[in-house]
Amino acid sequence: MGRICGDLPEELLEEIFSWVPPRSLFRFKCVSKSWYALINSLAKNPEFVSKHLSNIIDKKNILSSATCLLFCSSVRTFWPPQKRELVRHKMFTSLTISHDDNERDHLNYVSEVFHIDVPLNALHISIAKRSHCNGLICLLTAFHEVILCNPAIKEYRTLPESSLTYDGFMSLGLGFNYDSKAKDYKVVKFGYDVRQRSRVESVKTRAEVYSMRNDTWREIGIHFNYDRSPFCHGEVFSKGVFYWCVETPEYVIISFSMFEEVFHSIPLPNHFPVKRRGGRFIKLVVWNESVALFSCHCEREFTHTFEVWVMGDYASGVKGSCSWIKKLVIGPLVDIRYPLIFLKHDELLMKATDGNLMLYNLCSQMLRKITLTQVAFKDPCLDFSYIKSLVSVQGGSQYHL
Amino acid sequence: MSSSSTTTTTTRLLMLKASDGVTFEVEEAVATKLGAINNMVEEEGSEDLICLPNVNGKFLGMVLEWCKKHANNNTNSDKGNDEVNKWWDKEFVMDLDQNTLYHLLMAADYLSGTELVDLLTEKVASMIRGKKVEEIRETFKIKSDFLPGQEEEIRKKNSWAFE
Repeated sequence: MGRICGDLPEELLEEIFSWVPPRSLFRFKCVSKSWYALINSLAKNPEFVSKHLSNIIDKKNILSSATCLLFCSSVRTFWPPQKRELVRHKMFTSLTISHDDNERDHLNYVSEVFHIDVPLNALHISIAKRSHCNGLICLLTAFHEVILCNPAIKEYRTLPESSLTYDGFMSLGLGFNYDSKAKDYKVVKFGYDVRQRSRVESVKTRAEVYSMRNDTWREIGIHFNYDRSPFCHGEVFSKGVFYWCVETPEYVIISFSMFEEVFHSIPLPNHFPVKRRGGRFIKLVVWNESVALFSCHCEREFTHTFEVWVMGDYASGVKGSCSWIKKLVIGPLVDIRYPLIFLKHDELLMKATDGNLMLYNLCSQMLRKITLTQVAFKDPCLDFSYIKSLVSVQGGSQYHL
Repeated sequence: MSSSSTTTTTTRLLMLKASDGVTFEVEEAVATKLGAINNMVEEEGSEDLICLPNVNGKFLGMVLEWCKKHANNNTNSDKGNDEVNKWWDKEFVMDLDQNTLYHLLMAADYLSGTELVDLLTEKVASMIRGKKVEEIRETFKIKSDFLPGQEEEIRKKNSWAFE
């Protein structure tokens, strides 16, 4: 094997490091004193962290076109301590899927377990209470704590306590992302007061926003009233706006603009199922950077058809200004339970009835099974596509693109 | 190499001279993809012969080959170009041995070919990611200069990165 001869100047080494995943980079600290010093200083250098991040996010990388997914485990409060401890050590598992260059239809998988000693409380979460951005994962625990972690560099931090954490406050939804205008990471969470609820009164919602720069929470206006206790699904984020699908039990889509910090409700397409029933349900996804809505319809046992409705450019300020266009009909597909996320514009990840993941190609209409032999749990909950970044949970506003 | 007969007469040709005396005749639009040459052209104006004492002819030729490809692909400005460039870049770095890669990277850096530096550093990264510390030392010809015990301590602190 040939060698890279001579000494590479430090700035070229820095360029190379900006393409190296965090785990390898941290391991390379052991190469020599100068590498140790350089990597330590780069990991704390906001400019380098941003460059490292943009090399992954902007898909500037030419040589690899892998997609990384992250699976989060959660535990039940009634589980015995040993079992909970076991889950904690395997809380995050990533799965990297890449296409084989030589064989277009062949997929390669690599899975990786992240050991991170998050507090046990962090395990008490539901999917709706997780959000992520730039490799940072935000978790809202059953004990009202908000935890930020970066599994790729083994960091976590519990955010300051918010004012909406009293007994009787029920959290509904969570959103975490980077506000590119304010150049600040923000968390938004909303929920309702259980104590207010009586037979006659409707459920009133309350919301607050956390700013990483100020490291504080502040309550903001939200004006949704529901007759029944609502249930909220996980958020999707596109172009500065969060979207949640809420079951009240009628389906409602609510949005939150990060820039203006305003909530809106968005009407569903006409003739849409308004309630989950008879094997019909809806799900929000992001497709080609637009918000799309899956309408899933169970035709007969184990056979589903999926319609994809794309939301037209949504003017966040104007109520009811949203238009939906039906773009796709997928199926009928047998043994598919529900769609998960689009990996690329033409690759849709779906969950099969046997718990396995299937990759569906929109063009070839081919279904491929993803064998999850190494993923820690038999029936893992897929959370999101993920990037391994060097972004620190200690934040401030310095780490951004 | 370029078919200067078919290009318009307004295309200016530059002469680049490598450290070993090898010269290359290149269209200005191609050569100025390299920041260093662009600066020289802007500063020195009418100079048509540019001497590059830090780059060997073999590697200058390769850098210019890359520039030409990208300049050509970018002239027809439709969306498919990105894909064409990506495909071509992949091919370009596919079979480079480490020695060539090193010299090419130094040449690209010296000539301020930012996009090419990006491509080559990504290539190096793809060769070293996931490797063991010992393999990295071997690749970069680095000897460990840690005092006894120091390396173990760093390993211990970052043990998760060795799992």
